[in-house]
Amino acid sequence: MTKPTKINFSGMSALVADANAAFLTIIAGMLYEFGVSNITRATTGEQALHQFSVQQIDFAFLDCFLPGINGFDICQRVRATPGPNQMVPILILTSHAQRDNVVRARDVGASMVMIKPISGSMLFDRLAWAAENARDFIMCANYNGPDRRYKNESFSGIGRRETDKGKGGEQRGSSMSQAEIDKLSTSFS
Amino acid sequence: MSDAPKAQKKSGATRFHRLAKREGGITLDEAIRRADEFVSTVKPKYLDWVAEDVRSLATALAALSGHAPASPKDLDTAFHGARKIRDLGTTMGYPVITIVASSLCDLLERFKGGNVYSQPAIDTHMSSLLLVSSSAYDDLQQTVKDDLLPGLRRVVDRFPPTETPRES
Repeated sequence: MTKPTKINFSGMSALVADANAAFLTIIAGMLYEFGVSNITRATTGEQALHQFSVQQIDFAFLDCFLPGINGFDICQRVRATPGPNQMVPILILTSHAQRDNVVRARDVGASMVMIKPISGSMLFDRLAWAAENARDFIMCANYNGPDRRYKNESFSGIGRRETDKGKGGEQRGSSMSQAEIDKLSTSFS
Repeated sequence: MSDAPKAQKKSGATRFHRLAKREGGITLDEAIRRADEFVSTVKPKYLDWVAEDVRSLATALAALSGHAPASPKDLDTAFHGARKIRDLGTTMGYPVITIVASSLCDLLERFKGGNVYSQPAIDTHMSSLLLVSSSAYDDLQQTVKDDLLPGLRRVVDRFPPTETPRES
């Protein structure tokens, strides 16, 4: 897999959903600096889900612990709803990189999982990866989402190296590194 | 033969992929530079945000004080308050704030998992959080990282980890 050297964000619409207004300010500000034209913020699951029904979204960041309808459930509903937003890249944000969360995100059709805290480089890196890797979309009785039988062999971005662990705060116990998450969230077990 | 509908597969290319690959755009280096510039414009407000978050967290923790066993709902509220602080520290150039808040999250999870709530352990973390989120001690970040964090780790380790669902 490769990543484009440049991404053109102009004309894109992004949805960012997180209960933390300060976090939304930061992520929306970074995306604006990247050139994203239209950034919609949501602080609850209901608001986020509503946005999927009223406008075309080009990509979305959803916190998994949104109040109301959580990010996992929103992702699952969007993936199951035919329309212009069904296949858009959805990146699930989490503070807790345990295997359960990553597997759940993968199984509800998330395109990627990203550990908080974020950085500008992480944000761009994930979007660049998503831009270059339009995985086939699978629709079946118990799963709608990007093809999980996808071998992530050569991802070399932020979080790949062992020394990158800890960028999202301390990684302890059963938490996974971003590299382990990338591997798990793009492969079917 | 099964009547179950067969799985369908179609191209996952969307408008996002088409727009992203147009001429022009932004490189990783440029993106990092612009993001860092943006963060630097917001950074002066950050410690005020944290101070407010720490006050809210202290209120949430006060609800737990003196109640045994600790109410799961109150523990959840406190946990989300600590998580909120944890999620932004590193992004805003204060990784030690993230690490202390992360330690507090870990501690609260261990209480959620059944360990007996300990006010001294909480107080130690809150004092640490106040220290690392104070601009008056901005120059002590490295010292705090080297000296204080191992102590917090030992405090948390007094409470055995438990496998509890982290979502609430």
